[in-house]
Amino acid sequence: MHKLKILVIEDDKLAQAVMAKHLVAHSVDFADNKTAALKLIKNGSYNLYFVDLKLGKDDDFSGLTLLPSIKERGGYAVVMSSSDDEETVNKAYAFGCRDFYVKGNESENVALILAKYKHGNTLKNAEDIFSTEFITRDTETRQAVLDAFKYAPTGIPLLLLGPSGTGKTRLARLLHERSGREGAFVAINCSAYTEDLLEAELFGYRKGAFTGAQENRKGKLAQADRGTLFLDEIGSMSHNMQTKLLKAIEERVFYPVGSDKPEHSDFRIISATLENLQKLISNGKLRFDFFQRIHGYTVSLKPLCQRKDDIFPLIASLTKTGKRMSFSADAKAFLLEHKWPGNIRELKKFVELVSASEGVITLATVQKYLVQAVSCEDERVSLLTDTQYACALKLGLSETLDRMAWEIISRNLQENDGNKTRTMDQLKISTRALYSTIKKYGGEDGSEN
Amino acid sequence: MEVKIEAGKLLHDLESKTASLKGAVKLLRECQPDERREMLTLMKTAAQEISSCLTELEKLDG
Repeated sequence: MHKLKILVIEDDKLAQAVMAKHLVAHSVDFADNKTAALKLIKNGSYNLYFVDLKLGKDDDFSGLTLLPSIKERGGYAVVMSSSDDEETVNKAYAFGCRDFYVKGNESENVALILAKYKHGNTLKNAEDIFSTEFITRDTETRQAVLDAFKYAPTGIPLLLLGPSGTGKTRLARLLHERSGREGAFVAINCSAYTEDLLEAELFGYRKGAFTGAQENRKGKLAQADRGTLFLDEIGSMSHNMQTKLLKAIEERVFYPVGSDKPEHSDFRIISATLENLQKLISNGKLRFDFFQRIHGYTVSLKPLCQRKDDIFPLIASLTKTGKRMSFSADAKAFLLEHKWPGNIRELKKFVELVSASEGVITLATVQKYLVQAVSCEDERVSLLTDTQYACALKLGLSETLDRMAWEIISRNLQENDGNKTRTMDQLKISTRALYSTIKKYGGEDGSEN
Repeated sequence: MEVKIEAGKLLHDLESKTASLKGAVKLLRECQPDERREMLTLMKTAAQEISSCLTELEKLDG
């Protein structure tokens, strides 16, 4: 966070020392009475003001009368007072304070206020975020991100939903950066580990806990102390693991594998999944109490096919530091019509592939590289289009699959200038399958020649 | 009535000073030796003021 100019209006010397320590990274002035405070408010230009209401032993809440002057100068006033009766709180807000905190928990509240202040400024520069850190022109997506940012400086667990490649990890990192939390952003993909390995990764382990544990190792929970723990693909976590993690989330205490000594970590949870959580709960795959612990606020990110306006800004961003590209009109239209089942990840791969081509990028080039960019190794990427589904309902599954097979074969034959051997090789099909499809749809006799 | 106002002020001072003291205690571990000495001096002063407040409250209760 850049250095802020802060005025602390506080008569108590010990409270001043406490605030000085919490604000050590910033430029701070102090005023211990109304007159000195007014002078500094009028002559200085502060970003943030911390105001105690009672300035001196017999003072009659003169801090309140400073609030309008701060408001006039466009300052952000935060009252920190021991007087928190309803009347005083109402008066403080009416006089122009932006936040009111009761004294006594500065170690948490000051960090929260600083993060909130920074967040407020961030929101003012929202356009910058959407053209740099999270590229989108889509109104709904922008709103979803801005709404999520409101919860960034809080401890509320956040749940990010959306298909693979829609920017969940990017958003989680942005939320951490806006959280004001001093610790690290620690990410783990829960689907990449078996249950035992996931436990060791999350909780850490002691030397000798299992074969191969040759030394003590810190787990992700400990690494995320005072930071953020990002649990990606949370839906793939086993019941047993959910139970163990639930306990750690509730108590912020856990046991590394092979240790009977509890460890503490103050981590904030952000989790993500592409699965339907309600379905997982009803199927009994996700514990309801675990779900309750991870879904304080939910953010849904739309797939790229529903954010067509983002395709070309994303391409421009992905090529910002490298070769810029020009697409023919029909190539552009094709890119806009494409379903992008792998979302931004697929787009990124496509850009990497297509950037090797020369001159204006044609429709044929786009079609060629889009095929290669599809991440079909990922079983969760849907290959089904609405047209295919409608055909299956109308013609039956078998007939639809045959027709799809023919379309795939005929396109591949075209791309290979009619070379059947190459088509059989590329599509991994038998001679019999190739010729029977050609016979049925291609008008040839289907004989091998 | 005056006794009630005076007691109110004393209680406010007590709340304020104990809050500062609590905040300072939380910070002590992170302080460098010089800062720690300075903080401890301020904390002792605050503790004496808390004690004075308590005495005044006792007097008011008569």
